[in-house]
Amino acid sequence: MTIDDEVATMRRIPMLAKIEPKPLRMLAAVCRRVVFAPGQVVFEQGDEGDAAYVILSGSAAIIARSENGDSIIATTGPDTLVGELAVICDVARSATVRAETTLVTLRIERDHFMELLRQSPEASAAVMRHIGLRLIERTDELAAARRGDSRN
Amino acid sequence: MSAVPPTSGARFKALLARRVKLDRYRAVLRVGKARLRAYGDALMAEGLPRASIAMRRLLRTTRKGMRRLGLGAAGQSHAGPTLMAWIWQESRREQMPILAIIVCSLPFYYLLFDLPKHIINGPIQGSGFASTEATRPLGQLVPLFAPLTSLASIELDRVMALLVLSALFAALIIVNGAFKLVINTAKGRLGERMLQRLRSDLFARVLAMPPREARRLSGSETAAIIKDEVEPLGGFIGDAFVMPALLVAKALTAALFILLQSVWLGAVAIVIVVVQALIVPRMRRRLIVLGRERQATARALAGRVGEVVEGIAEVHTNNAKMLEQRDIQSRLERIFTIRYEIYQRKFAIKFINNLLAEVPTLIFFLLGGLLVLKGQVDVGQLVAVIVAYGELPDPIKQLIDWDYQRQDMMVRFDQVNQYLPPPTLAKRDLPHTILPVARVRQALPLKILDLNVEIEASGERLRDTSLEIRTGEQVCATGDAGSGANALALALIGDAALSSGTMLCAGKPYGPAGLLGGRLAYVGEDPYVQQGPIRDALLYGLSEEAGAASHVGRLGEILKLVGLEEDILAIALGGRITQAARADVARAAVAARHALARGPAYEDLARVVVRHNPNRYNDEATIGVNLSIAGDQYDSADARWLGRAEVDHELAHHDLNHRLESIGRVMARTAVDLYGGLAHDNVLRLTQRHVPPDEFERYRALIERYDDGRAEPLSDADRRALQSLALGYVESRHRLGLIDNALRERVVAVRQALYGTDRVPTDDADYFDGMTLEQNIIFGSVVHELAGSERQVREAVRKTLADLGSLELVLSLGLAFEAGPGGRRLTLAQRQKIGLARALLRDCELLVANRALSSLPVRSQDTIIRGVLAELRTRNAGAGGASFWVLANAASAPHFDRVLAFAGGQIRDDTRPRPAQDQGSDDAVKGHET
Repeated sequence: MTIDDEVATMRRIPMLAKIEPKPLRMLAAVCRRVVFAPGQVVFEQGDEGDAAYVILSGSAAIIARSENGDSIIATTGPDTLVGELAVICDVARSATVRAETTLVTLRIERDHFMELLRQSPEASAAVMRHIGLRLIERTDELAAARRGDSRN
Repeated sequence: MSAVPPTSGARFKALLARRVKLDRYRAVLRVGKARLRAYGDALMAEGLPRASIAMRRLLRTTRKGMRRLGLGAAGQSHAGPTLMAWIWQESRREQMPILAIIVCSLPFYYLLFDLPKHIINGPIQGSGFASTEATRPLGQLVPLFAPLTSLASIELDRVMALLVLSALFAALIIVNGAFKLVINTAKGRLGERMLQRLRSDLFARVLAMPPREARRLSGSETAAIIKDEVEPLGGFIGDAFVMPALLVAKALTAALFILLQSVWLGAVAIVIVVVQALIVPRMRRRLIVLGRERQATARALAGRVGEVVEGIAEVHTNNAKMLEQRDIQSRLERIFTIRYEIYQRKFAIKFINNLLAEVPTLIFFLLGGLLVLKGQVDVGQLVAVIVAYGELPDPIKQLIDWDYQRQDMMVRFDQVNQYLPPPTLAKRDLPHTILPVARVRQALPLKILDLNVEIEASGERLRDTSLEIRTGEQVCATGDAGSGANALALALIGDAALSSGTMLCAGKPYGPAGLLGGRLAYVGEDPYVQQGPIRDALLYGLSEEAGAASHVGRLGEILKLVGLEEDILAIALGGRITQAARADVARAAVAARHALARGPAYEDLARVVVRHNPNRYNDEATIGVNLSIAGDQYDSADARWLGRAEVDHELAHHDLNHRLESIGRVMARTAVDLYGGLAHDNVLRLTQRHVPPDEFERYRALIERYDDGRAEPLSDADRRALQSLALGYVESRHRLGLIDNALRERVVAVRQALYGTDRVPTDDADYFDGMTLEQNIIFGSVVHELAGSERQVREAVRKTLADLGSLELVLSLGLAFEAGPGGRRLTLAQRQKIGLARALLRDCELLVANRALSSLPVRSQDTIIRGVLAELRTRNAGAGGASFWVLANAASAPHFDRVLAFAGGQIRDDTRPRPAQDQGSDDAVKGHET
């Protein structure tokens, strides 16, 4: 898999889709490819958000840890980006990500990602849009949950 | 120049004239004042206190006058003793012998004048010789020999007398020269010795400053002061007393000699010298004032012209062209006046100087001739007087120069003293010294009562805080940057000025700062690591204490505790050694290679390490490594390797040179296309892996030349540069899709052609100087792509080394790593770990750690804190060493006996998640203290 393939994958990710290929190539060329074996942890809840990962192939489980133990809240596969919120907002990881199969990723360092946002206005706009959408999603979920509560 | 309404041109001119006049008076007064003060000091030094008092009185009057003119004596405050007083005070003992030697030399100096007189009168003029054959006793020829009867009675004819007396004269010249030599050497030595003392003293002043004071010093400026600024002072110190003493003594001797020959001639000589001493400096003084004025007016003119040019539109719209022209004209006129006066004075001084030098000779010829004719003076005396007079003006001139130098040095000395005040003064300047820093023996229990602290730099405050830290208690503080926790930590080590409050160490009213370095250890957020090996940084300050050896013994344990061991190991394994220099390490590495290959971890390792194989291309290694695995020089990614004839030949033979060139071209083009538009210090441009960042522009130019499409765009050097880029290519790292099987086969073929299959190393081979220590042990390339592969390899290597008992040896290699100036070759995280390890190596009673691990990942911080606390709890024969931590991350708080939550400069919450007495219980025991 070459950088061009990686850029093609990145362009399939909603948050990065609107960004020109050149800035993405710029980013991909400084990224490291990291392969995780099944069961290996990509990052752990509570860790610093030092990097985001583009999943190139394989699947991973997103796990939330609470007092009642760990629970898988979602499974994610190729053409997705994980860990980006912790990188953008500079907060601790909100969940653990663990490889379920052999997981091939592209590791985007925080510094590099931030530099991309500085270099490309479309990238900044796309990230903003992405975060906004996530917020709307969460608000809708919360509203739905409230409605569910009142019905019971 | 202030704006003046253009309506009153004449008034403006008058005003200007008055202003200039006033400025001139001020300047004269200012200079006069400085000179007077200087004379006063000089007189004081010469032991003429009465004259000095008179001078000082004069000075006071001048000062009054200046005050009336509205000129304060700003910037004149002396931060320390005056220069001359300081020199005398510091070097009395060395100055005395030199002054004694000067006194001893005077009689011989006198004789140097006296003897020629006898030579002329005796053998040359023949006075006392009845005929050419007549003889006279030596005692009569030279009265000096009269007392020595055996010598004095020797009879000499005129020729013999001339020879003997000339020989005596030669001896005198040698003796005088020898005195000069001795005095000059002694004075040079004195100057150097004093310079050494001054520099050492200044350095001591830097060390004596409390850190918060010293922080205002600039490192380079301080270094420049200690190194360069005081250099001329050294030269002057040697001259300070010796020079005037010598010159005055010489002048007096010459004057005395002339007086003894003839009172009249002596009087003339003295009058002329005094006139010269009075007039010349006075005239020169005016010259200096004029020089300064010339500079000031020229600068003002330049400023005015610049102003007019910048505001030229305003000049036109306000019809001020004439005004400006007049202004500049008047300035130019002023400059002309000054410059002309300088010429007048300069040549007048020259004239007077020449006159003063020539006229006396005339007077001596005239007056002296008359006296000779009258028989009151003989020819020998006259010639001797003329010679002696020739010696007179020189000392006077030198004295004047000495005085100028002295003033210059006084200013310099004052500047140095102001920048680095002597400690006594520094102490007086401290606004709030409540706690005397004294050596106390015990820090704990440490009681803090109503402490108020303000950190000037950040504005952080600590308000009315009371606290007690008991033996064996582990206390941590949480809170934001301005919460006051940092202020408390700094107050504990005496690095913050207390505005009020008390600290008691074991019941004594002392701050714990006096225990620093011994019973109290401190680690800040950015520990300073000195240039030198890491080991020295770790043991810094310990060598002076007894039992440093035992500290060294604990080093390994502490390294593990603060997580520094893996860093040290990584440094050692990533470094290169030569077999010749470190045969022991090389042997250990080869042994580890064998043990690793046979050990149980080998199978696991096979997944993350691709081992070198004589017949195969290693996809995880660079093309360069693949080309020369057996190469004696492993640094094949080097244009020089490509320049070798046999390499060039083989590459061409296998048609690999063009292929490498095109790979290099793709790499260079990728870098230039993607990152060429970014600033040269852009993080993306710096971390791209295609082109070395410092050669980026070279490759950019190369690609541009290539794209121009000229027939022969690239030189051999260019091609080699592209090929050397290709030598660093690894498919999994660069991912440009440039490696295929044909290339692999050709690379292996070139390698085998160059080095032969036999010479491709196997496990049994020796140590390879070109590879890193780790590469020598694993003998392959780590698959960096696999998550955790580096850690897995490192762990396997570590375990193998430990099993073989050579871990210590390898760690010692890492400990010898040069940290670089200010520890620049280490990361902040590594420096923080070194700071903590250094503090733990002391058997401290109280450890103060102020955000000491802030740059580490949260999980590592937690692990290290837990380990360190466990270690501290076992100290003091189980009683435990206490610690106070300002935490960078509150997540580790539950490991402590006591948690203080700081906010707004106060302790808001004081909890005990883990009571010191009852460590089994994990329930938080809450207790508020206000």
